[in-house]
Amino acid sequence: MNTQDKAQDKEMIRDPQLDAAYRAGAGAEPPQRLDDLIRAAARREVGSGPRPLASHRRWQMPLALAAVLVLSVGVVTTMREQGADQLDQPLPSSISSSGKTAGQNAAQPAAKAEALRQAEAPLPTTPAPAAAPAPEPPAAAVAKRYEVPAVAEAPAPAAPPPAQAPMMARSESAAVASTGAVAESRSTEAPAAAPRALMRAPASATADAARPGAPAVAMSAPPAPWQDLVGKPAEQWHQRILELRRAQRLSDAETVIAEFRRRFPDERLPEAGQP
Amino acid sequence: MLAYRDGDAAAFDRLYDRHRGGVYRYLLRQCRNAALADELFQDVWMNLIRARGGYTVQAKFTTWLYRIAHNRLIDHFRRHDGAAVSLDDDTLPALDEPEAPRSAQPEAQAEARQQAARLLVLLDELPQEQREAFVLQQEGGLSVEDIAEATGVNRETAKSRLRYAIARLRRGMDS
Repeated sequence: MNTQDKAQDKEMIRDPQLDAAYRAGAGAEPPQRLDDLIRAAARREVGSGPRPLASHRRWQMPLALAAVLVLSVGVVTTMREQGADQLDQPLPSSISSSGKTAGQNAAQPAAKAEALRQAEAPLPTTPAPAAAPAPEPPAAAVAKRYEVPAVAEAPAPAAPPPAQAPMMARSESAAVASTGAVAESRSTEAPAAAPRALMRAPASATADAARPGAPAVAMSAPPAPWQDLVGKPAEQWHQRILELRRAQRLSDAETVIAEFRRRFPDERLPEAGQP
Repeated sequence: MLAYRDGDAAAFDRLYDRHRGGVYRYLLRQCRNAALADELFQDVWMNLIRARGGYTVQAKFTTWLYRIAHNRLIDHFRRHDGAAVSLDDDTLPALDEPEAPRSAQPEAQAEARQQAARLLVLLDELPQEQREAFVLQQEGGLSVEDIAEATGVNRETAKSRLRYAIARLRRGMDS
């Protein structure tokens, strides 16, 4: 039965004349005493038996919202505390040893790439200061990413422990090369970066290469221009410096001068030998 | 009704004012006894008040209200072997119809009143089911579907009762 059929039924089943006649005669009303009785009963029912359902329904939604809010805050706070504890505990040890945390795994490739980039960059010809500012260690970087104060437990850049991390190895190799401690380079994480740094380092950095027990890496390096002068008087050092300058081997001359100053700190260079 | 269920007493007053006359006349037309109509009327509304806590919107409130009234009538008829259902009883037409003052009776109003009285007589002559269908339509404004739901019959039955009632009333008015 669709709407049109229902409308037709309504049309057929209604008679306006009958409706008017019925309305004209429909005057019967319930007596007043019944009205009063029923209204009183209705009020009594509402008043005597206050249904907790109504008040419950009134507060149901606000209470539910408040409960959800409290639960959410509690869960977030708990997760934050647990997450901070987890970041605080494993980060320093894992970074210094095997690097098993996700944060370190994410930081390692970036650190290696940075080490390679820094190693391939041309190093300054002048020796770098021993206390050059080392790059940020991975522990600090990871801690910054998670906003956890784990930097305090990370090794200090000024005194890095051996074989800390790729970034540390790069900085250490650079610093060692500039101070002539090439043989003591302990770079294990960036094996390609360390040799490049050694080859670009000044010749004087290999001063200790002739020492007994020096690593093979140092032995394979070309001999320094002052190696045959070791143990000779200062005049021969002067002569070598002048020869190198005349031959326009200024880099070698600088290397010999540096070594001369280290071996003869109280000797003066000849005027022509001054750089 | 939802407001009254939730504790709003004023909502009941509004409901009562809207339906008190229709329900009362429905009961009066069916039982044709003013005292009995009063008793049934009170019972219907008391049943509604007691049922307020479990009220859910499953049908129109008017349909629900007249279903309560219908059930109360059926209970009464069963208890009294249909004593109130006497189609041949001519003693009860226009039982409580108020008399209008003579001064306010122009010719048209007199004619309308005569037709109304005649209709009520004819209405009392109808079978109880047909009368009920017609009164539900007039007093409650119920559709065929609503009448079927209130009286517990299918739509076609309700429609047939209503059509027969109208046809008989029209014939009686025209004669």
